[in-house]
Amino acid sequence: MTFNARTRHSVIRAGAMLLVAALLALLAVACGGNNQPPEPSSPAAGGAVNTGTAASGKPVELSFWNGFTGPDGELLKQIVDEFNQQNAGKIEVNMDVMMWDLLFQKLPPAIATKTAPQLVAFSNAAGPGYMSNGSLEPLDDYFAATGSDPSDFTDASLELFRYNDGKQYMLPLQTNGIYLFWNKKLFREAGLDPEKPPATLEEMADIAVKLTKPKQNQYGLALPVKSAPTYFVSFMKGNGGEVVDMANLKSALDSPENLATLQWLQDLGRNKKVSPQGATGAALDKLMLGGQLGMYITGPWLTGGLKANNVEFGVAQIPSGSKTRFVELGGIGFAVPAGTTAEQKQAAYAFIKFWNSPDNMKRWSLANGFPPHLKAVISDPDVKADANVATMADMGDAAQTFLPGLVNAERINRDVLFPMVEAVLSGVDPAGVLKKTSAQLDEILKTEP
Amino acid sequence: MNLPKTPSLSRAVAFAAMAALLLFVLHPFVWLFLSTFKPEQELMQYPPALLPERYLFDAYVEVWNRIPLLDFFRNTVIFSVSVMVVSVFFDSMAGYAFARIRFKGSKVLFTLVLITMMIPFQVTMIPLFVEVFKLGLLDTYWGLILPRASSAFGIFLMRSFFVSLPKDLEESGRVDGLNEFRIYWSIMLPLCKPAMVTLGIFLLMNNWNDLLYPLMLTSQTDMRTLSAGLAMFVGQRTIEYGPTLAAATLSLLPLLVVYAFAQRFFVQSVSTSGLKG
Amino acid sequence: MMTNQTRKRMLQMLSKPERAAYLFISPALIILLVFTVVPLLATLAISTLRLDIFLKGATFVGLEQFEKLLSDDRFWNALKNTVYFTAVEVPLQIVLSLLAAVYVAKNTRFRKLLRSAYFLPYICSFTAIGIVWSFLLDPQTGLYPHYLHELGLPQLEFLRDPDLAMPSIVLMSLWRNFGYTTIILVAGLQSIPDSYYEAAELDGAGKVKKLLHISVPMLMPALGFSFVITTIQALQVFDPIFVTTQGGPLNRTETVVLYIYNTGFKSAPFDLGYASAVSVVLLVLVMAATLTMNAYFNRKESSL
Repeated sequence: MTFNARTRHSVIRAGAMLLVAALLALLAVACGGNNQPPEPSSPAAGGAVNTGTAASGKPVELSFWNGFTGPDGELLKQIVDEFNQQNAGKIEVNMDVMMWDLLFQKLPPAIATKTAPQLVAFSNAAGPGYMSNGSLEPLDDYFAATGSDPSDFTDASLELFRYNDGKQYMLPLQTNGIYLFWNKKLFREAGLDPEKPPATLEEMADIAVKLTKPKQNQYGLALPVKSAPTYFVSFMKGNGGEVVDMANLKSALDSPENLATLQWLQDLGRNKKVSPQGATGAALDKLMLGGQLGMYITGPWLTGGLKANNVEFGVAQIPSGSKTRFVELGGIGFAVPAGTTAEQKQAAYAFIKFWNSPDNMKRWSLANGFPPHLKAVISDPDVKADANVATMADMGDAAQTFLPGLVNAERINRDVLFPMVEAVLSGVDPAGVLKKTSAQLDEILKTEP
Repeated sequence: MNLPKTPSLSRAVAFAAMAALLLFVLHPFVWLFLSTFKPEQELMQYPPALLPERYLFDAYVEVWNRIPLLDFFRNTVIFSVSVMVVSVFFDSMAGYAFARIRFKGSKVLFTLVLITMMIPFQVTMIPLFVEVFKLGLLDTYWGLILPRASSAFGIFLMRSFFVSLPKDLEESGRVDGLNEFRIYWSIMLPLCKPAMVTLGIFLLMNNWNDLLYPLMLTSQTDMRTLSAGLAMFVGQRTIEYGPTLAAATLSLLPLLVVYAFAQRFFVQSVSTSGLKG
Repeated sequence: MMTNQTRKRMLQMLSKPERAAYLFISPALIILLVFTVVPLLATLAISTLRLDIFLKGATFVGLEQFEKLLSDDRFWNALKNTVYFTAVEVPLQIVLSLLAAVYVAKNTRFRKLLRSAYFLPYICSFTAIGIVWSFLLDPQTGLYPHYLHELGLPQLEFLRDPDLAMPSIVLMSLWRNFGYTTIILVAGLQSIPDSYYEAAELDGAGKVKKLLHISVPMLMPALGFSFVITTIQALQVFDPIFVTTQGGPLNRTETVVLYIYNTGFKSAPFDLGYASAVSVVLLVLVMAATLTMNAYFNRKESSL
């Protein structure tokens, strides 16, 4: 064994080089972090909308996060580009699109580390989670600052984004209810009037059975068990049942009306097999788009696909139950995270105003098949001419929010209500399911702030 | 020598089994590739078919128009190739040390390395996000590369291979008066080429396809990778299947090329007889 | 009082390889320490807090999250599913890969082609795989149920059937991963000198004997590695389930990591404290399983 100085020396040298290299690399990048998010510029005076350039003469840069992956994201991008062109040199909106799940994972830590975007869009249901802990800037001064009139908007659309404390934390980007889509061709083939959608839940059930032909892979009514809008709430509430007693924040699930509805649902799904067993929203979308599904209660996003796949379809309001009709109102709204400077907020207002101009709203509405929330656009002849959009916009009093202001709204839908429906549709006794779910619901409601 | 019938039967069975396996493995790819040429409608139709009725390039055109494919490609390459190169280097050094050198604390340290593999990324991603932010590395290439510059998997893999090399290989080097690093570099490392290529491919594949990690640590669209581009067609309610499948195929192709290329290095006629005497 | 003599002797006592070893492991260890161990410690700390992902207002609650965990039915369900998945997938994958590796280890053109083909699924991203397999297994519009139907067999519900969903996931996972394990075992097999096999043939050993008495023992490091790695990955399985069933139907495919994701990151309130506590439990479980395995294989290795 030779420990001569020369070999020891070269080992030390080699090792030291490695260590130093590693450390240097770490240090160098730690100090030289490039691509930092834009520093908030110094607040400018006044509330004028197009505030002009920041002190350094550069345009106000807004980072805009949203989850519009998919086809509607294209139009959104176009509108953002047009806004940037019109405001070149003054405001620049940089849109970052990611899946909604990821947006909700990134946003809170970003807010915590002050790397949040200046403008964000997400659903009303996700709103209370941010509103309840001061993560969003109130936007009440939007109307004064931009010279807009709140009565331009439908009341429902503004109500959707207001919090329990009365403040307007978000502004509408789009709103929608859920509707009954029906396949006219399948109606015709079954000897039914293709222009006459069911008006009551009972009619709907009858038609569903008539249209169900499992051997030909044809089904009458979609009954998804996850990843879909909460269509069953329309059934329950339509028949006089209630889900949550909002005044006392307690579960109102365990009631004879709900039990009857769930038994009816179980009969439809399990015995009459009007829907493929255990299907998710995405799978039923595919079925509907392939012309194999008679009726589907879902949102306007399906229109694009239906048209692209040449399905002959119609849109109607959800059928009413034995007592009333309930349509869940929802939407996506703009929000400004807390910590945004006044100048950036004004710039954000400029974009929101641009978005909510009658022309752009009309484009969005007609292109994506979504009902407009601006009164001027609702009464626009082109919009009225589009039968589907016109129907969607005409929801009337039946359209209300479901679980407004609850931080746990999404969790309740996903972890409590849909599993309840899944259990019922797979044959579990509805009475037992109701009791268990009701207890679960109470547990969660207790944690509301 | 007259071979009894059984070996050829077993040969046939083995062949049939492997062929069946091959079919099982390849069929989804065939479906994927063929389906990128189908219009959206055909993908939903019943009864389903394997072959498209006509061959359209619409899906690919859509992908090209909708996402900055080249930017995403560039970012993906920079990220995954850098990680691969650095990590293979660091991991093989560490693996060698753990496998062939007796040093104080090696058991404890190696156990620590193993433990780092046992926490799912979903859990540590938020603390990691905050840490990368504090280091000022958010939205940078270094911020993506450094946390992955060494992998417990890699250390483990390299160690396993170094262990399987004949004992006393180093001794001949020491007898010749080489220092430790030369022994590692000139004697041990070349014998582990298959392992290094294996590791390199694993790292490349994993990081190339990783969705959550780069998305979490970057906020600008121009830092996004190909997997993020793939996710762009998956809306919450509406999935554009045609472009998604096309994007998936496009994302696959460079890796296929790399793999075909790397095949050469797997061919190793190892003659480990070099240790005799 | 240190004399020059003592110092020199001390330096001589430190064996050269040992010093070099520390230098060899330091870059990797520094990276791991900074970017993996630190977040890991953070997770351990967070598991004792009540904290959401807004990272505001943490309250120390000691072991409360762990107590909550123990009485959580859904957690136990997730644990059961995870153990089931691991117990089925890991042995299947190792055996399948070993058999395939033995077949394709020879460097003929056909076998090299097979090698590349078997590896193909590994190249895919899970998003793509999830979509492809969801399509193929869709009971209404999928090719495979359709083939079964054409063959007169009952049309299986696959991912929608509570009893078949997890086995379908196992199948998907096998499809994707076995190619990689095969490659690792092939690399190991190719380093076994032919002389060993030749000697065995002279002794009259057949295929099976050669496999069991030469290949397997000499593959111990590679096999040990594969076992440990596949187990660690199986216990943490997430991606294939996330992109297909998301834990359904009826939570029959919800594994522990998926449960962590659903509790901590899916919807408000994002209970980071609870999610971290579940991860700590998973960590302990994985540690127990793999450290035992590792010790077992180490003993086998040293008896080589």
